[in-house]
Amino acid sequence: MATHVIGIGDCKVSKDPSDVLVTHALGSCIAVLIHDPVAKVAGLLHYMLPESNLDVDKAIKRPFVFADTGIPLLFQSAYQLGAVKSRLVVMAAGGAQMLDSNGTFNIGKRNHLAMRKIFWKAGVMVHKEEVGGSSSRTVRIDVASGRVQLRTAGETEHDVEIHLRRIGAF
Amino acid sequence: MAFNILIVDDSPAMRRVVRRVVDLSGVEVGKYLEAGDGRQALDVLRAEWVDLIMTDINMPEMDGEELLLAVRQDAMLSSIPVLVVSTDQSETRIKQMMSFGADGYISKPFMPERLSEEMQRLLGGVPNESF
Amino acid sequence: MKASDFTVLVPDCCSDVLEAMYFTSVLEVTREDAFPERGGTEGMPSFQAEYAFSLNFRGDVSGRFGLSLSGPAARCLASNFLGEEDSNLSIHEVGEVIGELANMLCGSVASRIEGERKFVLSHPEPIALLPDVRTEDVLISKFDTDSGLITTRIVVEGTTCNR
Repeated sequence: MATHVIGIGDCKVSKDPSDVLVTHALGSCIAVLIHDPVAKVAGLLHYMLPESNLDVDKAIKRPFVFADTGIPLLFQSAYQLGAVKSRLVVMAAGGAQMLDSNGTFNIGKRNHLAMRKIFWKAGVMVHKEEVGGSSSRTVRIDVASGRVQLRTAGETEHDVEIHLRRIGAF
Repeated sequence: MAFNILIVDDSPAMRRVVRRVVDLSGVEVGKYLEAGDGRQALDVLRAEWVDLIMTDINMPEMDGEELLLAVRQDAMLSSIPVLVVSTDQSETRIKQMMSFGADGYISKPFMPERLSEEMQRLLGGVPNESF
Repeated sequence: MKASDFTVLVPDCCSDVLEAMYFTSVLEVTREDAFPERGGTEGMPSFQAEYAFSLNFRGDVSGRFGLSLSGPAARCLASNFLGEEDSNLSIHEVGEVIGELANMLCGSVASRIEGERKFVLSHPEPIALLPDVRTEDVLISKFDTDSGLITTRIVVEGTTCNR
């Protein structure tokens, strides 16, 4: 089993069934986790800031720092490994209200709003969110099964249940 | 199995958003039906098979409360699930509409995922039973 | 109830609506006093905006709610609400979205008024500009958001302003 640690402003996709993707210290940052249960492809993005127009040069060099450049790249990378948009299970974690370098608390909320806007415009529904609050989180996803485990600072780790109801044929 | 869904709201923009949520939910839709008020909705209900009604409350001509009561009193329509989608967030109104026979209540503003969950819950039964 | 009683409620409702369905953050809220200390000749500023809507609310508390914003702000909000690029939206479509914003804001406020049992909203109507209401009990709130500036005006009927 290979555990890949995704750092801040980074992203990884995998279709190796022995892989586990994990990211730590999700404060105001947000982790987006995706999984295609048929193609057995998983991806994890850990982004810091909502919009790349805040620093265009950085967005070119490090697109995964920002929601609006990182999220599309996450999905495109997953498609390249065989994931199909309509099959993707999408989860988000993080976006806590933490004091940032400007002395404000709202970057977590703005990160969350940016993500929701991007998904709404792209036609993607988020199946599960564990966002907000004021505590740091760690989250990991098993590539083969799509099983997600989440830990919030001060609490025990738990499995995140994502219930999918597929009504009608698709 | 495809569902016929009736969206009742005097705001064309809101009807468009609700329709988008249905599209993104992966539900197979046979027909999207729309109405701008309760009276138009009843006309649609008497002409088409409908599996789910999603209705606002505050509308001109006939509001959502009157529509709900009319649906529940009509033997041909009374079993259709009704999901209320309204700006009125008061407990009083929610309890009232549920007591009148609404099957679910979503307050505006809503997260798309929340509306999708409620809609799928109400569609979870067998649709389009023919006689 | 007086308009000033809405000082907290209007910004709370505005934030909720803008975040949930317009994916927009409120960065700062300022309140304009309908009767500024500096003098009567200045009075109420008249608002000329590309999109302005008004609707009435009737219940235990009755009044009028108005909303105004610039064209670019409206297009941004409409694009967010509908999930479509703003270049694809007509003026009419943008207007429909802003009308619904006015409806949701007014409905949120009305339904949270303490003790409010039932209320009725009129259909939002586009207006050229928010009226000069210097003689009425009014709360004007300006929301600086990441989609642009939004101004709301709530007038409570049945109260006269004592100067």
